[in-house]
Amino acid sequence: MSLVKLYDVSKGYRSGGEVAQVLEGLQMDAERGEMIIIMGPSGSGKTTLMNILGGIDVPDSGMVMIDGEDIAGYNPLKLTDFRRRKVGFIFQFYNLIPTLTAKENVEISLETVSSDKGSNSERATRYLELVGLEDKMHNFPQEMSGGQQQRVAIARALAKEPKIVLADEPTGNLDGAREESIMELMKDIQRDLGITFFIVTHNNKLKKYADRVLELGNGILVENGG
Amino acid sequence: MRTLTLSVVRKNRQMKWRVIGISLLMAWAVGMFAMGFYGAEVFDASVDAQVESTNFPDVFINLDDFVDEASLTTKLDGMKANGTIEEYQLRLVLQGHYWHDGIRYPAYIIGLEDPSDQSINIIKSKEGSMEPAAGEAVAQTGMTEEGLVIGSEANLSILGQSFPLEIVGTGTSTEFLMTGTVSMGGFSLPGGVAIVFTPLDHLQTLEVNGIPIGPIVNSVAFLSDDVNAAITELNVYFETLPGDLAADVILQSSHPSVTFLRAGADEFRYIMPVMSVLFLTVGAVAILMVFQRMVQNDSRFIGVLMSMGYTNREIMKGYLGFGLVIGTIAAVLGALLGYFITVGLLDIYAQFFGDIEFVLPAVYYPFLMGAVIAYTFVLLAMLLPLSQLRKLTPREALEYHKDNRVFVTSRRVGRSRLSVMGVRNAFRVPRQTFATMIAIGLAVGVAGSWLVLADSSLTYIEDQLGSDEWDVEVNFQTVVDAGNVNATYLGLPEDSIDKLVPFRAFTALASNGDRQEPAYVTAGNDLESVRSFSLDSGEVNLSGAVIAVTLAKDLGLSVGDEITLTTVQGPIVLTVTAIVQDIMEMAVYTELDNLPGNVSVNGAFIALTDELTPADARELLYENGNIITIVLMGESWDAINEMMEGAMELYYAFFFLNGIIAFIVAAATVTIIAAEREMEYATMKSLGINKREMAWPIIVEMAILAVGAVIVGLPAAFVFADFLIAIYQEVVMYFPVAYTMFGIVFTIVLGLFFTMAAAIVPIRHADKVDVERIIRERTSG
Repeated sequence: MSLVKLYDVSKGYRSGGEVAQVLEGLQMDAERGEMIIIMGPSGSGKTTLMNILGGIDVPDSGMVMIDGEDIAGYNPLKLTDFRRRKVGFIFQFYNLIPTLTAKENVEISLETVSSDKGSNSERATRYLELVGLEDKMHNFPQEMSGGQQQRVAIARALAKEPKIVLADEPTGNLDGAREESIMELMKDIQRDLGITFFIVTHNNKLKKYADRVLELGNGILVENGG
Repeated sequence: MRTLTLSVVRKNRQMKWRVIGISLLMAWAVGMFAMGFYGAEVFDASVDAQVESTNFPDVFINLDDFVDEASLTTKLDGMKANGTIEEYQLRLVLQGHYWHDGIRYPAYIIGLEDPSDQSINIIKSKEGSMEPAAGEAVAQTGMTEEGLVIGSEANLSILGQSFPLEIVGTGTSTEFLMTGTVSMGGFSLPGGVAIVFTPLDHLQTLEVNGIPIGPIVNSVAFLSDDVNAAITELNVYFETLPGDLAADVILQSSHPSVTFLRAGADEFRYIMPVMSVLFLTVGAVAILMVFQRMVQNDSRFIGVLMSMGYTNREIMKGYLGFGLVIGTIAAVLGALLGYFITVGLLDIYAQFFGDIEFVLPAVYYPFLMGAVIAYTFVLLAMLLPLSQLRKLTPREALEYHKDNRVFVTSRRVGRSRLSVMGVRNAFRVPRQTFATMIAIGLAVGVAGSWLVLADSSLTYIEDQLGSDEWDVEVNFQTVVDAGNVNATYLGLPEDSIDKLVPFRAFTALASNGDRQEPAYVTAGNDLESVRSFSLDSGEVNLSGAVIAVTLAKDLGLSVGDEITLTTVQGPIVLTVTAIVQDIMEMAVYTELDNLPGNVSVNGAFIALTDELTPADARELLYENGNIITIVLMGESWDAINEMMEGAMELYYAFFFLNGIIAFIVAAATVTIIAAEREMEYATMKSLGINKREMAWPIIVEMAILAVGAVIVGLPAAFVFADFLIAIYQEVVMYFPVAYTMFGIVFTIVLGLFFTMAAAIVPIRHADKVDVERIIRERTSG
């Protein structure tokens, strides 16, 4: 059974009295442990799709089944709970909290699911080691390079062991070498932990890491073939 | 500590100056609030302790003439035996003069049977002996400046006779705590008065025209559980005696020593909390502004927390924690400030209150209330900004873009691009601009209100003094028949007197139905010729009563109503013909003919011709042994000016303090603007724009904010002043709000100055921006 299944999902935004339809009757599914890359021109609805998958936004119509739950009809409180348990986000601009160290940035995410300080600390350390930042745990974001910050963001997304990880242009802000390194890291984690990754990117070079590549255009999703 | 809380705490640390600024403002407000109530408690407790520890009499009766000591003693012993009174003290109070270093001071020489008596009206020993023998005296403490020190001989004269006394001790009598002030009617002026206590029988040896005055007294004080019955019984007794015994009956609760201290308590209790609320309001507006901006600036941070699964409520709690930090600093620091400033002020007050021993009661409610008020204001101020979080969705939070709408006019604004930038920056988010103007404007308004208050009180007192047209006022030791008061009696040349108005001044109980207040009555024929009245309502006609605004208000009287004045010789019922503004808040003016019995007087107003100067007149008047005090209008002016200078310094200090607060509010607000625009400053720097050019748009923007703040602040200053003055009228003294050019111009100029001064914050911020860091951080996320 698919981990993620979207049926006939539509979403539009009202702007200046007109409704701009971003997604229209969208169908999609994804298996556990799959890495899916979503591509498409600007304004094609990639971020909207990611927001719907992550429970940040809700569709106007359709069904969004994730790990057996239809989150399309969830109220804000249930959506919050869903995000807590099942989703990890990785942003293009890392969005680390500047007043927290690398380790604390991971712990703040873990504290949404567990109040066990010892276990949270141990797990944050483990995931920071996993992304190769064992010597930067007590550094603040401004003391790290862009690539290192994105590794913290990955550790933060993964540490609570979500069902899906949504990454919006995760390498959009990195140079070639760091881009490779980050993608390989995510690929390894996907394989080792069996987490489903959705990655939005404009970068064709990343296709090689995908199990499937989906192309979004005019609100419709088409399999690209990778 | 939860990591979310930790991130908020560290945010506090990053914004330490803003937090410290707002916290100090709130702490100051809490401190004033606590000071108000705690100070009032201190005054009340000190009055109670002073009254109790000195067995302060319940009633003082000061007679205008002398009575036989033995006869009055028999009467009082009888009253004591039947329980009407508990204890009594017979006194011979004579007013005279005291010479020291060539200066003549008014003097009170009080004859007591036993100055060391511990049963009633105790004089608390300070130094030396409290048991003076014949020819010796105990001086009231605090008169070392007047030379009344132990071992010295006080050069006194009474009724024109020299009466030297050697000072053997000093002590504090509650009855004369107000030695630092002399009274002009009901209004106290700074000045020296000599007060000495000597054995009664020694004072009775004083000779007038070679004959000892003998066993007479003119004052009685007593303790009684049934004050009204005791006064009534004594009045009946006095009526049986010969002579004009018009008397001042002073109850403990209306004795100046008690009322001054109670007024001090009321000043603290009412004025400080009102001022505190003004500060709290300004602080709350500053907090609201800061949090409004903070919540907007932190939108992405909030979005990230939401994407992790934090609920809106959990995030709100984090921000509330931030507010609690401010509230806690304000509460703790405010309580400490409140306590220590109160204690510090008491040292100053002690000088005015004749060395009273202040008691610090163990009451906690002022500080607890201060803390509650601090948290309430902080949390209320945070409600609006935080309510935005309540319905914020993660997508909205993550997608938030700073509002960069720009107000554009079709006309060119300013002369350069930088000026245009400044103007457009000012109106970038018009709603916020106006909110900022209101916040700073309110702070400017609070500052300006002190100027208006100072200006109003000064204008009023100058007007009042200007309404007195006499040059010299004299008061007599014993009453004189009005017809006998003339140039010859006074010892002045005929051609030196332009106008002479003898008067009878006394205190009476004024009443209107059930409402009663002590009143200062001045009765004289043709009073209008030496005094013009500032009319509030009605028409001055002294065949009825002309009364002061405060007395009218307290008794609920209007023009045409009847006022009853209760005196020893019976009640006088008069129709109120006019209500006037008067420095003597409880003043009643009427014609001498309205008084019952003999038309005798105890003072006179004298307007001099050019033939004699007031100073020369004084020298001649001192030759009259019955004249005990001589007030020169010019010297009253000087004394009042000196006193007003002190008060003005306090008001101006408050003005500058509030001005600094306006600066803090403005600085706190523009700090956020500066932080928001770091990227713009970095970009401008990278374009090669120099420090001065960077500063110009900021100055233009701040100038616009300053003008807006002053537009809000000026009317606010008058509204706040109106409010403060209303409180002052209730607690201190009556004076109306004066709309003078000085108040208006000074509020505008200093409002602009304090707001513009805050421009230094963003200018420094812009100058210190690290271009490389900002560009790298912002362009890479």
